[in-house]
Amino acid sequence: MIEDPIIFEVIKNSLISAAREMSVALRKAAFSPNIKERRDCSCAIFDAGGKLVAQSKDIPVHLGAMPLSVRACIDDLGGRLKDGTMALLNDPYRGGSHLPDLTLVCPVFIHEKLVGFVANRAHHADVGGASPGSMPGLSLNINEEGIVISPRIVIEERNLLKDRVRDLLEGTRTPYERLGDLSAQMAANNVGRDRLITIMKEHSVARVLETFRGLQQYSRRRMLNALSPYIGKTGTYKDVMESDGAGNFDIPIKVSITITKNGANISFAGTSRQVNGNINCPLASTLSAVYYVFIAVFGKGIPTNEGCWSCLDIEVPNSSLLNPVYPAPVSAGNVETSQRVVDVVLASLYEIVPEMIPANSQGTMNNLTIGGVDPRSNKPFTFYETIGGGAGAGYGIYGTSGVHSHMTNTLNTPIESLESEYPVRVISYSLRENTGGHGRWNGGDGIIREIEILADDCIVSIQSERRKTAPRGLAGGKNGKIGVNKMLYHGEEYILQSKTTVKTLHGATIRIETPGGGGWGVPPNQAD
Amino acid sequence: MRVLGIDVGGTFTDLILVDTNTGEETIHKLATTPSQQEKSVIQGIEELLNRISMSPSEIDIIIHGTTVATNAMIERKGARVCLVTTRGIEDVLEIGRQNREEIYDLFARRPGPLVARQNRVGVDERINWRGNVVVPLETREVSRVIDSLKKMNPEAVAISLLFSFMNPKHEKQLAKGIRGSLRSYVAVSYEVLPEYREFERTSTTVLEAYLGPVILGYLERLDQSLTKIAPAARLNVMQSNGGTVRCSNISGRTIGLAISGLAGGVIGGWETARQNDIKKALTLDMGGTSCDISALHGGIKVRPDNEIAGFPLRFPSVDVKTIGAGGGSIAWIDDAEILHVGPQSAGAVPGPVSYGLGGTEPTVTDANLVMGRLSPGYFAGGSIALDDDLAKRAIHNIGKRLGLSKRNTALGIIKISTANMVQAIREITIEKGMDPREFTLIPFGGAGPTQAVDIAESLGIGQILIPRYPGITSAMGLVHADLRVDMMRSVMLKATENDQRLLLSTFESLIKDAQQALIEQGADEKNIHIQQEVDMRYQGQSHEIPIDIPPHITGYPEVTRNLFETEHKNRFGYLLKDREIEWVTARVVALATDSRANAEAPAIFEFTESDEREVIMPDGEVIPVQIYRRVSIPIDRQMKGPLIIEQVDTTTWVGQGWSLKRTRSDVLWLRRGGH
Repeated sequence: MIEDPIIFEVIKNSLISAAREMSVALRKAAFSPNIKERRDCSCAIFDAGGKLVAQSKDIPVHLGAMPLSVRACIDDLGGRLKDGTMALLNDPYRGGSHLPDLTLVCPVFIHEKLVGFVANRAHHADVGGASPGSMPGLSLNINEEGIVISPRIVIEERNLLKDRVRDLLEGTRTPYERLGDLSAQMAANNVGRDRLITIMKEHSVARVLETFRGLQQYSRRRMLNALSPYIGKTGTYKDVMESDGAGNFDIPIKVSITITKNGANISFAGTSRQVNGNINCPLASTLSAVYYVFIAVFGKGIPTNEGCWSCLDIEVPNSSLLNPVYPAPVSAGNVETSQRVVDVVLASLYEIVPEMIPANSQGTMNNLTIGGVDPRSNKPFTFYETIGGGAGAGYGIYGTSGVHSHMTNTLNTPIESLESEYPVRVISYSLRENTGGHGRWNGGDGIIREIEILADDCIVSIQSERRKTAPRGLAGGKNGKIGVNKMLYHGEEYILQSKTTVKTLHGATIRIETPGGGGWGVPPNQAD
Repeated sequence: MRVLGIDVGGTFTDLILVDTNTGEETIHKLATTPSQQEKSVIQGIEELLNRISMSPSEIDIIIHGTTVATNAMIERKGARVCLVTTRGIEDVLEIGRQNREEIYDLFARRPGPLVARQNRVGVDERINWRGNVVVPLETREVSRVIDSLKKMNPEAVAISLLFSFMNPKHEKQLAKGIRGSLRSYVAVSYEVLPEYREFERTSTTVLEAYLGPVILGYLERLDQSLTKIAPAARLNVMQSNGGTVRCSNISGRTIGLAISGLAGGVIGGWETARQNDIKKALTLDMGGTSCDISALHGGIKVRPDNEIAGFPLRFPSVDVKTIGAGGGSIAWIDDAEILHVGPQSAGAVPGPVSYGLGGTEPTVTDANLVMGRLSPGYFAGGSIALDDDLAKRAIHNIGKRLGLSKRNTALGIIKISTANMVQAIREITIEKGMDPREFTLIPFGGAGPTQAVDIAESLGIGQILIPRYPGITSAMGLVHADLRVDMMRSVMLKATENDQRLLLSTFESLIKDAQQALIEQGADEKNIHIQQEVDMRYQGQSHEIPIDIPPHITGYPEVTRNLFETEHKNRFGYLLKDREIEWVTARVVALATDSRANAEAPAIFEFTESDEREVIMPDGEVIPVQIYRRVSIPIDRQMKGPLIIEQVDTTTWVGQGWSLKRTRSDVLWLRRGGH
């Protein structure tokens, strides 16, 4: 089927490097630290039907979810997606994830024929809503979380039309930064479109389109091969989200998996209905978490594209925690609940391929947002970051300390960037020793991040998990230590809840201690 | 002027002396003394000068490429380092940027930090983003730090404090105190990498501390010995970016030598490509220990940063990939009875089994000997006698364990070694979306031309170019490279009339320093050529676009802003009209071009009798093959493979289906099919 294996590889890798060049352009042109330093953004290339063809090595929760964004644009805008246009969206019920993630989709034409799409998703530091950073600890309705954007064309003839994003620019606390970052997203798509056209001109349109199909078939075949030794095996697991920030606790997520000759059935029947608090996880993010696990466990060396998950049959009940409907709040679902989806899917695969499964990693992203007015410039600021923790150990492998796991892979904000851009001082950024679970192989340690706020009347929001139920050890390994959120002020220490929004005064210090990873295997001193 | 290039590899030390007045070249090669590289360097100089009866005092400039730093990193044999850093961020070195390299890797690991936690000392001090002191560094705190360091007794100390690039006061205070009380090598972040982002700056400073004592120790020993034998010569060292540095100026900048030994090969390979009008070249430098591969498209690519043995290094370096595949690479069998080749090498001592110096494990060279590609009597021009029987026995022994004939074992070793190099080439071409078939393979190093056809066959490459002196192409690159100095300084200015004066004065002082450095290296002032660059961005971005400043302009703000906007539009597709534009870093490149790169002397034809030897072909068949000395190949006449071409520094294998042509400028063209 693959006519010339070298050309196939060359085109495949050209597409991947085009996606990577998009990511580089995006962060190089960006203005907010969350994008230019933390790289909270992802880029990918799609065929004309919106199927993923190639992606950059960015953020798993973005990457698996973007195809639904592209398809929402195709469905809603269809023929209005002309050469030179780009469409924007963040609607969690129409292919988006949570509101700060803005996705910009660009159709690519050659001789007036649609040949594919390039798209990127970037997490903006503020899109309006009840609290700065648009990641409120306690929202009860999507409209408290910011401006909702259903697919709409915002770029025509390669120019960003400000009146098409007026609601966003009026809703956000930082419009100047938003415009800069939106332009950077346009830059990424410009680079991607130009690269894709170059590749098609170099190898002929027909050959590249054939490779689009060939790549998906190739990845699908290799995934099926990787699953085939386990046909007929099943696994099931249930875990909980410890709180939704709205008074509900221990909210169940259940999964059952069967490996079949056509791939795998994954059912989330038995999972909680959607809840009042903001941990509802949009469908695209749920699917993204399942794709992530199957690629990580079975897809080693397989090019990532739609073919990798075309053999997965995933059932997610409507109006459930993992497939919510309007107006359920979702801001923590994409970042926190998606991590738990990974935990349960991995745990149920442990019954099928035990030696390939690690213990629980920290199971949270420790989302921290701080907003207020910067006394140095008298301008509003919003700062957002996520904090790494301990990774789970595996058979023969110690868990890594102080690292992001599973659905995110954002970098830290360099302290020197943080303090230059915002009125804060970092007191401590260190490993939280002995927080990884003991085992034959220990889990990784968490992180301590302590930030002093040098402005009055700031609003701090935290969205976190694993503050009550610890990351589990596996095969006799001990659990990792739970995380803790604290505020220190005038010598007093206040414990903050896992989901929280608080107002702070000058000199208040936020101290986040992130969870350790679970250990794997019985610790040596306890084995007999 | 007489310029001496010295390239020290893991196995051989190569020297080339060029007289720039006459164009005369003398080459010499000897075994490296791995534990004391300076020994073979001095011995090589003495041997070379003896051969041509020249007095050492007649050498003007020495340019040296060294692998001391690379080896220290790979073998993790750098100095014992303590890190002194702002209290509270002692773990930054270990956490890095908190991300993982591969997003789907459930078991992502990082290399262990070069400084263990108990050797990191936190200091009570604080400087803020503007460079103002928030928590002063007290004298007694400096004493406390010194006391704890004394207990640890490190060979080197790295100092990296927050915001030292804005205000180095506290770093200077600590450095002064530590230098006054300890004998350790001290690396200070504001000198090593005065840029923001604490992890990258700290990590690079730690690397400087880790490598400094090793490299300086070596260069000091070398310089002392040289002063005795060649007092007039100035010793310059090749840096990773292709620039040169005077030996006495290296302290504090040793990380610049991280891949010193590789830059010469890339320059030498590209020089060959350029002289033969090749735009796309794959240079393959295969010596005794390793193989360095670079894909060049229109010129040598310098990356702004690099990674060495898994550690990020913010120092510009030529883009080159190294794998453990050389003539000395050892063939071995693992516990699952699978045959492997390398990355371990038999080096120069004991060397391949056929050297007869006590080696027992067969190497790639032994396999080539058994296959008949190498001559027992003319290896390295006959200076190293190869024992055919020893090689056969060793290959037979390893084949017996695999149930393979001697013939198939030798073929297998060559196939595996070829596959390792092919994989590396794929990584730098196909995996970056380039088709290797559009490139010309330029193999050199002592072992490159022997396996070039196998590699080309495997990748579908149709054209191979073999330089005049393949065995010493790296050393040739050293003497043909321009002396080059790069200088930079962060300026952080607005691109306006107001700030123009500060930018200009920065350039003025950088140019002065760069010129001075080149003159100290031995350059003639009138040959110095200056290029100016400034990194620019919109205020609020963190990444800059480098802008070349055209010579002799007035009105820097307008000219550079226009160039920046054009480039921003070019790269990203748009401009931002309402934003301020900044000058971030001023850069100066000073080049001393003189006429060292003389036109090559024409090829000389000298008739010698051809010979014949039985050679094992890739399909296992044994057939007689004609052997020629390189000088006896007629100029511009096509000859058909299989053929073997021998010369002092290498042996070229021309496989079946390939043809050969020697040109007037004495390069060998190998082409699949006919010419």
